[in-house]
Amino acid sequence: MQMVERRGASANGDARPGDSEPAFLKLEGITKQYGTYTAVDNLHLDLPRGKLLGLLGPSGCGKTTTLRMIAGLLSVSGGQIKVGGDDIAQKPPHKRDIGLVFQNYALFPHMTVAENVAFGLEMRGVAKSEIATRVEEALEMVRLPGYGTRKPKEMSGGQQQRVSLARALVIRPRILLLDEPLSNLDAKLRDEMRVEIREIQQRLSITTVFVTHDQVEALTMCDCVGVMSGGKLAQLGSPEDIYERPANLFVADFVGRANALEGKIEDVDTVRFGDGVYKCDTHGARNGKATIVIRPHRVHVTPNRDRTLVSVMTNSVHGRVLRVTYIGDVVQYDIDTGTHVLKAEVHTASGGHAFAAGEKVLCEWKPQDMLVFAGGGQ
Amino acid sequence: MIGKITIPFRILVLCIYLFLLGPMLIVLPLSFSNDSYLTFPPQSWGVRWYTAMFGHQKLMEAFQISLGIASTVTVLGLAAGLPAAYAIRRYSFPGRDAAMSLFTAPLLLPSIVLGLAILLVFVQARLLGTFTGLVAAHLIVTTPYVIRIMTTAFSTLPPSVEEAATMLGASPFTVFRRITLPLLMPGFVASAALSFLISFDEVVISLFITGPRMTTLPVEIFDYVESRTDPMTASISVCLIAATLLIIFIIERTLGLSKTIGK
Ligand SMILES: Nc1ncnc2c1ncn2[C@@H]1O[C@H](COP(=O)(O)OP(=O)(O)OP(=O)(O)O)[C@@H](O)[C@H]1O
Ligand SMILES: [Mg+2]
Repeated sequence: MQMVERRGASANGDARPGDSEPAFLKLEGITKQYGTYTAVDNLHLDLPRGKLLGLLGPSGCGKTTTLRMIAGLLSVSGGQIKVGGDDIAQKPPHKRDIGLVFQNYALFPHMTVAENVAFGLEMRGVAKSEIATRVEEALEMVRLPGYGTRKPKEMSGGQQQRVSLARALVIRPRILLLDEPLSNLDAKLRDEMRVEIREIQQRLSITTVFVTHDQVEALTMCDCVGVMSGGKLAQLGSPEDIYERPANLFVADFVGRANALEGKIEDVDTVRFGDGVYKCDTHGARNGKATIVIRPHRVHVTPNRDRTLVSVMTNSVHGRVLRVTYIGDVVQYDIDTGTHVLKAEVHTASGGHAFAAGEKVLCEWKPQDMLVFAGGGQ
Repeated sequence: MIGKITIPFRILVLCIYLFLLGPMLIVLPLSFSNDSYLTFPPQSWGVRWYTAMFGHQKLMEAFQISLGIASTVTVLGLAAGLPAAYAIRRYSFPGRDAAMSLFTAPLLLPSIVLGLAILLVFVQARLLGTFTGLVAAHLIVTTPYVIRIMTTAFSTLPPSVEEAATMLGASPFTVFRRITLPLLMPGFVASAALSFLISFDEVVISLFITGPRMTTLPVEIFDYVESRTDPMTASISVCLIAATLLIIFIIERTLGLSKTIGK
């Protein structure tokens, strides 16, 4: 998909997270090339001390590559990685003082849990007696006190991942990196671990980069979210920025569900698609093609009535329900408006009218719920 | 282990053990016979044939040659098989699967076919009845085992485990010493022991390529049994079985055999 810049929002976001705070982790144009293929392309990113950054993006967009370059397990083809002001891009990984948690846990199978956690402390020449207390503290922190004598294979996936977290944190690294740490866990455990990781991260106030392709994870856990696409940063901003004010069509489409409709800008406050004319904010554009994004859950579906009776939402279109999909907490309607198929989501708990396939309805939405991206879509 | 260990299963295992170890019940008493011919039970007892065995010059020479060949084969097989296994597990390159199949193909061929093929090639290369020839022939048999075992060992050691150690501050040498080596050691020892035993035991292929100047212990025993039927064969067998058990015992005690052979 082509990136369509939205007027008034730069790729790095209007509201850069922590504009006031100085960056602790700073990526300055890091690039990774595999032969002629550029996996990460001139990436710039600032992360203030103690913040949790979520790196979000589709498979193959370069998230792991970026993380491994920060860790030092991959060399950079260009650019600088600064931690607290020093460029570490050329430092070997074992001298970087960075904690890394792997998707597959990567515990040392021939060592006990305690030995696993103690390893990093041993490498730092910490005294034996201190190691013992710090290992026990770390295991308590991840709610595994007393598990020290077990071997990794005697523990469940979730427990192993917590050991791996304890092992990374016990050395008090300058930065913590997590590469999809929850993707091998089942949905319920993932929810629990999400909360736990976030709590620990905030308690230790450790600067953290969290790679995920799960947008819920990124939006719920992180102080700021970097959305990547094709090796580039498509947007960096707070979860709310990313969701409510996507900088471009890619972000709007990737994060959350979206109706992306091809249309035309008629004036600074008017767009046209299909047979209708709708009120919205075009961010100053007066004409030209545009892609208009409307979130399905911002579309209100009401029983069919005359459109001229004017909707409270300002924008409305008639349609016929094509398909009804029940997803548990929401019902999704595919509504044929004659020229487009509009997706709408309605909470089942709201007690609203349930519509059947074939029924005629009126869809309504507010001007501020239309995101207009000037330029063509394809 | 899947399922429960039931009584019929125990009986089955017992029968298998009896079948495998049964010959020992005959061979062990026979080796302490003082008779001139193989008779069971022996008429008189003693260590006559053990003494004869150690005094048999051709046999002792063959024993030394076999020892030399087996040691050389073990070292060379590991030297070739280890990097091959590493490359197959850690790198992806075109023809990787084909290479794996090719390297392990000799496992599927009957020894007699291999022996004949090796004979045909070695005649031309003037390798028949030479130390080099025997080592080369045995390597064809043992290297696939090394590659098989070591690829398994490498796949139980994902690169991320070594990387995790690196991120915790371990230098490349420390990673090798504390992580890579201990985790590969069982596979390494298993490959070495298996290579050694296979080479030391190998008779079919060796029969094709040994000559009067250079012969291995199993071939020498084979020749001996063909012409003589005295209890010395039993004494040799007992010595070989004891040596093998000793090796297995040491591995079991130091590493745990079940761990070595795989899960
Ligand atoms: N060793 C390599 N040689 C060539 N290309 C590579 C190599 N490693 C990764 N790539 C390519 O670089 C791109 C980025 O890979 P990366 O692993 O960073 O993706 P990712 O965002 O982590 O994806 P996922 O969500 O699937 O983990 C991919 O297109 C991948 O094919
Ligand atoms: Mg990845």
